[in-house]
Amino acid sequence: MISRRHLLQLGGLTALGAGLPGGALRAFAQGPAPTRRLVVVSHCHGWPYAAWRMRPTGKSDDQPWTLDLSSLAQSEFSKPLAPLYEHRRRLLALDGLSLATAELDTGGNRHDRGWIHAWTGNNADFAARDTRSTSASLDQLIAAHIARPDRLPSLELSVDAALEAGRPISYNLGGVRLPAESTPLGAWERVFGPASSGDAVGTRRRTTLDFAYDEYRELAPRLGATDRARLESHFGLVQRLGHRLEALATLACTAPARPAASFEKYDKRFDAFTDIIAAAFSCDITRVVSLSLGEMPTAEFGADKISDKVHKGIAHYIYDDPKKYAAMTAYLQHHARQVARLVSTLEAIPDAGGDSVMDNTLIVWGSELGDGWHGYGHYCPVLIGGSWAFKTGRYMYWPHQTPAEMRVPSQILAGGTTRLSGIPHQRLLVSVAGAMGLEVDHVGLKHVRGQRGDFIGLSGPLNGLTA
Amino acid sequence: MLSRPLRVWCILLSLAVTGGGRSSAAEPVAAPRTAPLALTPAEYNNTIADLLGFPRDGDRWPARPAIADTLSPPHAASKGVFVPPPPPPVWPWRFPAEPGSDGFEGIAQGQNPSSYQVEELHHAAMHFASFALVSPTFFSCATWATLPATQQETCAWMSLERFAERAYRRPLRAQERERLEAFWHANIAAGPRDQAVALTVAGILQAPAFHFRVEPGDASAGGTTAGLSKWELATRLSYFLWDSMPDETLFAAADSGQLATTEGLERHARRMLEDPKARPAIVHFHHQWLGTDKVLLVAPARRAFGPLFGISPRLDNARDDDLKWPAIMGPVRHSMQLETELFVEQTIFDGAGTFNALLTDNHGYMSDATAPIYGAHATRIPTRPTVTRTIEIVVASIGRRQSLTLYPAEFPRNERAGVLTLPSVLALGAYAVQPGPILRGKRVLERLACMDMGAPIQGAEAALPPDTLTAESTNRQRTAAATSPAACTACHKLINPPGFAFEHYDAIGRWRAQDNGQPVDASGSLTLRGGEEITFTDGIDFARKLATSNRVRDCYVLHWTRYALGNQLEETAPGLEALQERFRENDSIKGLLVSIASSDLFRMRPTGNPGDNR
Repeated sequence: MISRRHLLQLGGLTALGAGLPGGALRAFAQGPAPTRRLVVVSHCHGWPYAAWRMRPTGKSDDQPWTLDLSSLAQSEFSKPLAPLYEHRRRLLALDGLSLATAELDTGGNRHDRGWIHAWTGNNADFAARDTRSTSASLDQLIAAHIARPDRLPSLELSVDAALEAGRPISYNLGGVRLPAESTPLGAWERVFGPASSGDAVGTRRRTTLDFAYDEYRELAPRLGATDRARLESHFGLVQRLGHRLEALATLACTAPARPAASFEKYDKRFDAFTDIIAAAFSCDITRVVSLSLGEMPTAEFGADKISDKVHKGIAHYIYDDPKKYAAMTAYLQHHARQVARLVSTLEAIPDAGGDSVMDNTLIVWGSELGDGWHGYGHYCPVLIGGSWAFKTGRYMYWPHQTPAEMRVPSQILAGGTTRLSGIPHQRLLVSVAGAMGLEVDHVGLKHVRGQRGDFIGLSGPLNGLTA
Repeated sequence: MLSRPLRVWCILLSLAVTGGGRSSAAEPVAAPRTAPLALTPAEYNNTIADLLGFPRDGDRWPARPAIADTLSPPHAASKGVFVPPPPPPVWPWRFPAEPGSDGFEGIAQGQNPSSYQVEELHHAAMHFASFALVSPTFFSCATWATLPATQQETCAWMSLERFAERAYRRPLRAQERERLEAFWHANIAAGPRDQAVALTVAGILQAPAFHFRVEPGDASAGGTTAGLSKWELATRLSYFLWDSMPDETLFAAADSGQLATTEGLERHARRMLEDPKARPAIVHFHHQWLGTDKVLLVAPARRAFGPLFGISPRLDNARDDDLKWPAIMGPVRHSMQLETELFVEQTIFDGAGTFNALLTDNHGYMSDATAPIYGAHATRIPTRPTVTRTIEIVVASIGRRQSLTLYPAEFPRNERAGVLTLPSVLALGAYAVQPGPILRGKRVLERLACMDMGAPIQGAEAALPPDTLTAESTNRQRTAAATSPAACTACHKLINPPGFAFEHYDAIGRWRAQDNGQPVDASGSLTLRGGEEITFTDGIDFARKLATSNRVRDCYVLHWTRYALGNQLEETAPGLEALQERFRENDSIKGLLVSIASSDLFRMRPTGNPGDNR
């Protein structure tokens, strides 16, 4: 065991870019099976679909098709996704999904409902003092499956305009919103703090678990085999929790420098989180991260002359004002630039077997809405990485054929309602769970009925991702 | 799994050994071995409140002591689009639900620990431990905070010792006391005294003797069965009737041997049923029995029921968030839940107290929120007191609290009869638009008649008729047609009739004479397991006949006995029949609970099997 005094501290990794000192940051030695990691990224206000989509000539909107991204010139690439062009071999851009179940649910407002549906696949719990899900989010399901018992099961992070608590994208196994850490310093403390600060009260908290486990150990010889086995299954977990808290307090890891107490810029906070994620992955402190992206100041993506508010100044009016549509395109492009930096950073960290950490990471990037108008109709997630499970480097399109009515602006369709929706995104959640080794038939809802009463199955993975 | 002939042989043998399922004077009948039960979420929270001497209402607890933030840092709330949610109440702790067994928590077969649950228990222990410092009952001395150091330590240790005995629900063993004292001294040596008290309490709240009901029994009697020890019996009794730990009277009764006799057990069971703590516990059982613990999640569609509540079926402006329907449905759901609780509580504790009344009484409660469901035929009873509760709902992501007043009411005898016609039960047996005869029928068979129907065949859900407003036939006709294929009929000839019995009620529980322009046909017949045949004209007639059915009453006894023992007893378990026969005759629910509490099944445990403790 290496004492916390031996923590090595580097400067910001992103600042160093790809020129990391050889071996300064290297993933822990792995066993024969590579360690898989998941990052869930969720930005606000959906996609400017017309700018996002890729439509090479000769492709029909009536039939499913796929496009090999490696054959595409930069000019043919999605404008909002342009910063990810250099990583296109890792991409799976999905065109043809929807948040149909959010449209069919009735509680909360459309943002809150969208976060719950997007990441849990389930309905909101309407009757409480806060909006809750009725089941766990994807990141938590996967964390419960792949986490090391002696490390953090997951890390919930948020970047917002101010240092506000994050937008709710992670829900625990009881359906309760998980708080997200919005300051890099707070996140750093959570990940590296126990090892660097010697939290005395934290140590004493662990002693309560030790006491409970010792009480069980004293009791166990007096129990019959059945009773002992039953209590062992509980107190074995108590012991593991104690070990995890101890391991976190004494782990050896090359940590990034302790970040500043505050960062003015959204971009800088994102980069600081990128460093923390990279170090946490390289040290195997956690294998699952959710990154909730809240309001970005408009000056950071060059739209401050249009409005100082993304949400109520720009996003709501994308179909009313072409300038605002263009601003949302720039907003999404800026997020793509941030995500691309995360990918580059993870690519620069060697992993076992000659891979990079990115080679063993899957980034799922989605949103709580289909568009800034509050529509759920075009849900356009991007998968980055996960090539051990998915055939990446593609753009996939499916026509909308699901019998759920989706609200759209009358500028798009007279009457304001489509008769059909895209494939409910729950199928993607199943695919992602499967890629992370969690074989499930469904995530969240198993089926719903459309407004006209049609049965809509939500089980099974998306077809063609692995082909 | 035993083959059928072998199982029959085993049952016959067990009947022979036990005298045909009846208790004999020579050898009491014990329930099959029950593994140690963990406190359920409800039991945990009630026990914490009782241990610390605070009411079962988080609003009336003191604020979190300052030390709590050191031991158990509060989580920052995540933010919705408008405002962050209000901080969670200091009590109760929200735990993940137990997987459950047959819809019930607190049954050994439905309790499987998870790492998440263990983490939550740790967090809860750290959170509640600091409240010991402000508890009205924790310290054995007055003004602890201002005592000199040595006196503080002495008082704190005496208080901890007493607290541990109450938390473990029995006197401490000598070695237990030594270990606890060592833990206390280690904590005192490591930090401030108030932290040391809280950390020691947190240790107690995570110990097996607190979190589990371990029942080694009193093996001194010998034989194939042994009585539970007096402390184990007091604990089993209090969790059965109160969902919580024993009070001082019950501890004293146990200590003085009053629970050793049938008469003593009966006396204390009756006393406990008169205590206000019995009411929520008995209601809690019925929520699980009926599935109404899920009623806050029902989601009738605005497009079907918006006009009933005075709004258009669709949004006026497609871009708007729907603020109206959630604001209407929040109180409706809460009202449905409270109407169920008040009906069950008053029927059992203040009314006839019979199973017959539970299934047939046409009195109950309604509120302004549910008045449209009951319509003009409901009659308020102004001479009886109203009940006002605070409810919490979310509208447009903003959580809010509001009060809801429930009025006593009488409903037409041809429209409402007991729990099966409560809007909560009916709305849970429905889809967003149309009633679900299959859901309703399956519940009657499984929960009321103990006839397990298993899981539907692959693709069954997809084969159901569309849940739509526009239909060419009645819901009964569509359901019958959808379940007519040969692969469906074996089960649906049983499931459909008890479901069709409630076709007079739409998806939100409103009575209707017609469905899709045609008179409702809610008639049918059903053969229960055991051969009892019930023919009925509608749901009211059906409920009345279920109320007097031997099979249904036996099933109710089986559910209660399983719940009392925390064990998924077989229907043929020896000792059950006597309880069932008595309940068939006297029909008293409180009488049944007293009978269970004083039965051999409840107070004895088998010995000589691999689960035995030493």
